[in-house]
Amino acid sequence: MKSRTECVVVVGCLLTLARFTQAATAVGASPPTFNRDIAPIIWNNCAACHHAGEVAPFNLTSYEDVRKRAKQVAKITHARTMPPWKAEPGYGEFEGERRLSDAQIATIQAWAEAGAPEGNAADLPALPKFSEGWQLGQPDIVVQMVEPYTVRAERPDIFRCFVVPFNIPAGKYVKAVDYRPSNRKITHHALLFLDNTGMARKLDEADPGPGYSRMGGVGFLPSGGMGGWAPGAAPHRFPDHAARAVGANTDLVIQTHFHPSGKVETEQASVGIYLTDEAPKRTAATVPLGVRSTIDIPPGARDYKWADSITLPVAVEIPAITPHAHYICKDMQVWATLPTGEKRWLIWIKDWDFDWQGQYRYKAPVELPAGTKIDMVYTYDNSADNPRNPSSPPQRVRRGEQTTDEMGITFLSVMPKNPSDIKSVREAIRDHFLNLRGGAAAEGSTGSGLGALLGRLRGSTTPVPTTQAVK
Amino acid sequence: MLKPLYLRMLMQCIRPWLRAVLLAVIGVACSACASRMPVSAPAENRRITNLDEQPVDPLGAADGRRATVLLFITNDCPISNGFAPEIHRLCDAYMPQGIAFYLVYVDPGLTAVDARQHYRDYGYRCQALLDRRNVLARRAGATVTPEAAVFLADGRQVYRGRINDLYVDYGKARFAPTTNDLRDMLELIVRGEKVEIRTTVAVGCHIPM
Repeated sequence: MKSRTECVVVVGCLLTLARFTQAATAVGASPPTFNRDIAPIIWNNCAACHHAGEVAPFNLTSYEDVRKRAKQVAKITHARTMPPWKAEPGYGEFEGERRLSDAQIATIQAWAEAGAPEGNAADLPALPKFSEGWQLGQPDIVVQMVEPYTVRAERPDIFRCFVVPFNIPAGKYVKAVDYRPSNRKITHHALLFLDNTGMARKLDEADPGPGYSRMGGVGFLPSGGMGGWAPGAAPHRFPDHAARAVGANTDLVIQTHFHPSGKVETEQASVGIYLTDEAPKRTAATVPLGVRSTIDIPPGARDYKWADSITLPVAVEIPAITPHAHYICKDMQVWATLPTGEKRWLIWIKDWDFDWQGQYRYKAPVELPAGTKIDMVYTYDNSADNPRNPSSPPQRVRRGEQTTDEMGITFLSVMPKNPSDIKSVREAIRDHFLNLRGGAAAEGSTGSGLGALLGRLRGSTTPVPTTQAVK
Repeated sequence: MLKPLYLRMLMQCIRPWLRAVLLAVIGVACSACASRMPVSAPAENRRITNLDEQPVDPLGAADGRRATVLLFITNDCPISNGFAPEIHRLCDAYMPQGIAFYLVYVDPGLTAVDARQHYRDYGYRCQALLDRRNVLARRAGATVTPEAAVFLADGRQVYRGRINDLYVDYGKARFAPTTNDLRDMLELIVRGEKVEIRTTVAVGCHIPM
C-alpha cells in the first residue's frame, strides 16, 4: 500500500513537472503580447462600444484597461458572449459581423494565461478614431423625444414607445437615419417606425407619462420602418435608389428597450434624418413570415416548433433579414430552396437572445429566382430549465405582445429584380395571409394588429405596409 | 495487465530516485511560482480604508454585531450595479438587526473620488471600503463582483457566493431570482439558528487584477 501511494505521488510530481515544462516552453515560444497581438483584436472588435461616452460599461482603449480585465475578456470571448453576434457563421454572409475568429479567441486565451504581458511599445497600433456625434455628418432634420423619460432603477427591462412628430418636406425622401440616445448606459436598442394613422398618439394619450408601453410591436400596424439603433451598429441606410417616401401627417414612433442600471436614469433620444431629392426607383416590400402564428406552447415543452413558408412569385433580391421572437425561443432557422432544389441558408441563430435582436444586412443582397420557397422553423423551450423563461413555474404560452407571450416572425426585406414586379410580391404576401387564414381554427387568437393588416390587404390598393424591426 | 506492469516498473525504476525526483519537482515548482508572485507592496498600500481613505478593520470591530457582510463590487460592472436596489433592501432589513454591511470596492485603479461619486450616484447607505490590494477578497475567497461573504462575530466565515441566482451566466439573467442565498443566510443568523458553512457560485465581473 505504501509503495502504491509513493508511486501515485511520483506520477503526480512528474505530471506537475511536465506542466511547468510545458509552460516554460510556451514562454520560450513567445506568448502573445498586448501591443502586438491583442490590441488589434480589441481595437477592431470591442473599442467601438468600449470607449468613453459609448454604451459599454467600461473602456477597453488602453493596455491597463484590458490587462486588469484579462480574465473577464478571456472568459466572455471564449463563450462568445462578446462581441455580441448571434448569427452562426456559414449560414449567411452579413455586413458588420461582430464575431471573433477561433484563432483570435485562442490568442486572447493564451495571452491571459501568460499573465497578460504588454510587449513592445513599438508594436502597439494606433487606436481608431471613433466618430463622436452624428456618424454621417450633420443631418438635414433632427428630431427629439418630446420630453425626457425616467427609467426605474431595477429590472425587469422596459419597452416603451415614444411618439415624435416630424415633417419631411414635399419632394424629399429619407435616405438614411441615425439615432442618438442621450443615455447610452440604459438604452439597449431602439426601433423606429412610421405612423400615418394617429394610433400611436392615441396610445400615448391613454398611457400616463411620456410614451406608452409595448413590447412585441408598437400596438398597431405601422405604416413603415425607419431602421433602428443598437450598440456598435452603423446608421440605417435605405438601399440605393430606394429611399423612403414619407407622407404628410406622419409621426415617428421610437420603440426603446431600456436596461435599468441599478439607479434611476433619464433618457431623451434624438433622431437625425438624411434626405435626398432622388425619388425611389425601386420599392422594397417586407415579407413577414410567421405573422399569423398559431403558437400555443404547453408548459414544460422543450422543443416546440413553429414553422411557416412562402414561395416567391418573381426573382428578388433580399438585402436584409430580421428574425423576431420573445424570450423562450431558442433556435431560428430560415432558408431558401431554389427551384433547382439547392438549399441556401438565410440565417441560423442557435442561441436566440431577445436582448440582441436586430436586423442582419447581407454583405451582398441574396438573389433568389422566381419559384424559390422560403422556410422558417423556430424552436421554443418552455421548460423550467430555461432561465430566460419569464414564467416560473412555466405557463402555457400563446402568441401575443406581452413579455409572457411569444412570437415567431421573420421579416424579409424583398426587392424584385424587376421593379415592376412589386405588385406580384405584394399579391403573394396577401395570398399567403389569406391561405393561412383558412387554416387552423386556433388562429382566431391572433392580435388586432394582424386583423388590421388583413383588412388593408383585402380591401385596399395601397402598398403592403412594411413592418420592419431593424437594428 | 498493462497497469500493474507499468506500476511495477515504475516502482522498480523510480523508487530509488524518489527523493531526488521530489526535490527536483518541488524546486521547479517553487521557482516558477516565485517568478509569478507580485513584488511585495509597501505596507501602506495594503491598508483597507473607508472612502475618505482612513484605515478601517471591518472584521475587527467588537461592537456587538451578530455578523459582518462584505459585498465586493466595482463601479463599472453592470451586474454589480444592477444589484444596487437589492443591496439597499438587504441593508435596510438587516442592519437594524445587528448585521454590519460593507461595500468593498476592489478595483486597484479606482480613486477615492470616483468611488465616492459612485457611492453617491447609487444612493448606498451602508459603509464602504477601498480594498485596492484585494486583501479582503483573498481572505473571503471572492473572485467576481458582486459577491458576498459573511463572517460571524467570532471571525468565522460562514458564507461566500452570490446574493441571489438572478444571473445564470454573464449576459444571461432570469426575470426574477428563484433563490435568495445571502438573505437566507442572514435570516438564520438573526434568528439565532445553527449556521452551516455554505458557498455558492457568484456570476459577475472578474475582480480586476
